[in-house]
Amino acid sequence: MGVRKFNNKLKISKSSNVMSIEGSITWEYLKNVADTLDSYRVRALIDAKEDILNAGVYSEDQYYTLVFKMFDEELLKYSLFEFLKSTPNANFETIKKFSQKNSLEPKKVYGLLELLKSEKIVNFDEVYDKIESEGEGDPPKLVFRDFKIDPFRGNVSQIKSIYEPVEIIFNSKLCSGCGTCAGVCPVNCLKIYNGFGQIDKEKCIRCGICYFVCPRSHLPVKILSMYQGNTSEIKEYTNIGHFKQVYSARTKLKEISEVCQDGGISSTCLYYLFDNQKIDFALGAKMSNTIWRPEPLLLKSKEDITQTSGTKYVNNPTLQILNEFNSSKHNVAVVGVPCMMQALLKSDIYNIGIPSLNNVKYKIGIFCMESFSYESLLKICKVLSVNINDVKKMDINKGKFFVYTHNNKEYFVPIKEISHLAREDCEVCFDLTSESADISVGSIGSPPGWNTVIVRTDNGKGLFEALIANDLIESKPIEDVTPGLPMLQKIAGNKKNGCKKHINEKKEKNLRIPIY
Amino acid sequence: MDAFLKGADGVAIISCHEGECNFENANMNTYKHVKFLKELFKHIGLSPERIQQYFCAAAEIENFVASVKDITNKVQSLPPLPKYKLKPN
Repeated sequence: MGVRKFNNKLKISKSSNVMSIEGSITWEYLKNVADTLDSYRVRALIDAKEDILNAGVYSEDQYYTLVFKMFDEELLKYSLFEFLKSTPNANFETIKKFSQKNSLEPKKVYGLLELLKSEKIVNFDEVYDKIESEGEGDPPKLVFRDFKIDPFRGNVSQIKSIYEPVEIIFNSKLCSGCGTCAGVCPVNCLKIYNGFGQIDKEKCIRCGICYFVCPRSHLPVKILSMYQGNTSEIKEYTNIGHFKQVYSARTKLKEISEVCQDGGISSTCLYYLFDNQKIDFALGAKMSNTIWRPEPLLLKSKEDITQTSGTKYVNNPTLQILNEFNSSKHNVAVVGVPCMMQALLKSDIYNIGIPSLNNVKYKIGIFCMESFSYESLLKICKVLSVNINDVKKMDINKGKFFVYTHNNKEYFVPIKEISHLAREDCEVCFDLTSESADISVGSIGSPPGWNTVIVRTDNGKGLFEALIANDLIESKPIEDVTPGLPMLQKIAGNKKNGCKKHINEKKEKNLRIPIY
Repeated sequence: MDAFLKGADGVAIISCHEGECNFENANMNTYKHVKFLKELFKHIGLSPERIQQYFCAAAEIENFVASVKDITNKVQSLPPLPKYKLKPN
């Protein structure tokens, strides 16, 4: 209803309001509006209005909100581009000026700059100062000094980039299987099954929203941490990203501790949020009818929580069901792996007004090293000579993959022997600890039966403190437990290095890589 | 938008009646675009009156004159839009 109401108001106060706005409009602004209207992304949405409304994913009001929000974002992007073009030797000061002029936070402008870079119409480098560190043998510290920005000199309409459907991400084996694209598609033409995406080309309107929200198309990694810390300062982060505090914790709730993987913290978070009416829905993963093949679940009350406890090592497109709560305003929590958290935070940075994404209030991240396809899981069971139907619990611990059966037998195999069975698409992921979540939960670094909890944002801090205040969990600082934070930093570093290695390999073979 | 950039304060699009277009249904496609542009103008703070589509067959002189008068009146009641300033060399 938002757009309509706004229009009616405009009509009433037309003579005074519109005129005063019209007086402040400059020719340059009109020029940017014209450039933006040329943008393929906006055009595709305008032309496909009927298809979108017929598909029934978004209502007419939501459609207008979406188009205009996208229009505003594109307008801002092209204004920045024109501003950079009109300034010789654009640098950090230019960015500051632009953000002051438009009363934006600098981090928002960095985000737009990264977006322009990923569209290859602006090239920029960061200039760092090297500062020798005091301790011997430590590598010298890099301190940010300036940007060196080189925009494309030419008419922007010549180089308008077209966002392709997200299919190219599927085909180049980069898809994380998070399901965001399928959850936001305005005509419902995408589907992720078993970690692989399918697109209905007949239905597709080529709006490129799927590509835009995908965490593997382009992702401004540095800006993710800035948003997490709510700062515009450019600095280096540790291997586990921005965080406020790290704890080791476990649940006190009996019904959760009976079924949970380690400490049951993520389930307890949901329990608290449902119990105190902080959320209406939550997204998670449950076991489907085929055992150990998970499927997305929309949790509606705390009674549903036990269905989702326990780690599933098979990829699950949780965000695919985002479009189920498009219709009205709800508060939603999402429990998911790093790639899902990346997608959700990305939609904060480049907000294009997708109602379901804006409903997400709590992001609960899980540690993830890699995921497996269902077929590889069957292969692992074959290696261990276990029937998959007998498996009660799976776990990765101390470099081994453990399988526990219903008759309390334990099987294990070193991770190294089965890592070739992991999804190839997951090799390009840099994130172990869900750096983009409000609160991250995992087992690495804590003793058995406990969770390592990384509190990252104010939102996450509030949630964790509420858990303690309500006597739902017991916690202690991570420094008091072994192996503790160093272990977590080391493993996270391993994943980052592995990611760099795989990306370089892909670069050498001239394959498509995600733009980080 | 090009017309606005070149200094027009309003744009009238005069097309055939529905179903009588020489190019299948270009007039109705344009109608959709105009409808959207009106919404967009409201969104960015321009008066939606600045763009109008009129349906008028080639022989309907009176209709044509009325359309032109209509847009002229509408635009004249609005302030002029900014014009492109040539940079002095």
